[in-house]
Amino acid sequence: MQDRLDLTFSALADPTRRAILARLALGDATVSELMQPFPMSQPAVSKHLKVLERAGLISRGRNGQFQPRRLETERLKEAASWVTQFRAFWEGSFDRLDDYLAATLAQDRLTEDRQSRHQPVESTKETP
Amino acid sequence: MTEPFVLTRAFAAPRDRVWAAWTDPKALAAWFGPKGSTSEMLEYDLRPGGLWRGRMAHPNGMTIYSRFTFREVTPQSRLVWEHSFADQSGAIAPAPFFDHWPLVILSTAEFTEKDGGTILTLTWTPQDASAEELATFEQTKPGMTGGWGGSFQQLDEYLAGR
Repeated sequence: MQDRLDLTFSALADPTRRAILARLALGDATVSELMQPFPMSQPAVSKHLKVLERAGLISRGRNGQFQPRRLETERLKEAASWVTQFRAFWEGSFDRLDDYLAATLAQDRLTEDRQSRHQPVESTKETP
Repeated sequence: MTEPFVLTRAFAAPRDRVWAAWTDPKALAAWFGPKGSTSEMLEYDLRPGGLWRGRMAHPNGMTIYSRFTFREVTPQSRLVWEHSFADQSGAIAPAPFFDHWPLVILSTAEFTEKDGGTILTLTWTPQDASAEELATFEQTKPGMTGGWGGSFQQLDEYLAGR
């Protein structure tokens, strides 16, 4: 889930790809139609389309040689929903908590190690 | 009535350490918030009715204020709080950048020991949410983890992968 979300968000992070999605929101379009507003080569546009396709944000029509691209709204809705945002917030926090705990435990072990090396445990002096 | 949404995570640290990381405001500031953000705890009063207020600098440049109210505090095992956004003065405010975000989200964190590690279960349910917010909540759930069953499956996979 988190990987899929990462894929969606990184696909959405680019202004050209957002513009392509905005164009597809008006209706399906072929690659040459999509290219028109951008001062870009076809391979460059195709690369963006591939990223969007991999993220599940668009699909390719199977009929006809032009394979018109279509907007897949489900993934977009999911990324925009507050539940997804809330989940991503906590997933991100928990990754950092994991690191924080690992670092503090390592620090503890280091301190214990030092103490046991430099201050041998005193013998039974205090025992009544 | 909506079922709560559940997120489960296993941590390779004893339960008292995970509890301390949640309940010491300094420790909390070290991990609370997504990667690249920095958090500051403005208030942290760990008792039922007490406030937990924070300010977070998000990597996208925004400053986000939060205001949580503790409902239940059971040392080492359970925290319940009402989760809200806030304005600069600390008053509950709508989410600064999303539409259809519930004003209050009831959240529960449960800490369970397992094999020397800790399993954290985070549960949330929107409170006083509009029909639209609830619809989003219901729609999004099955596609993500499918509630309890899905989360435990996810946990199994996570543990198997270790």
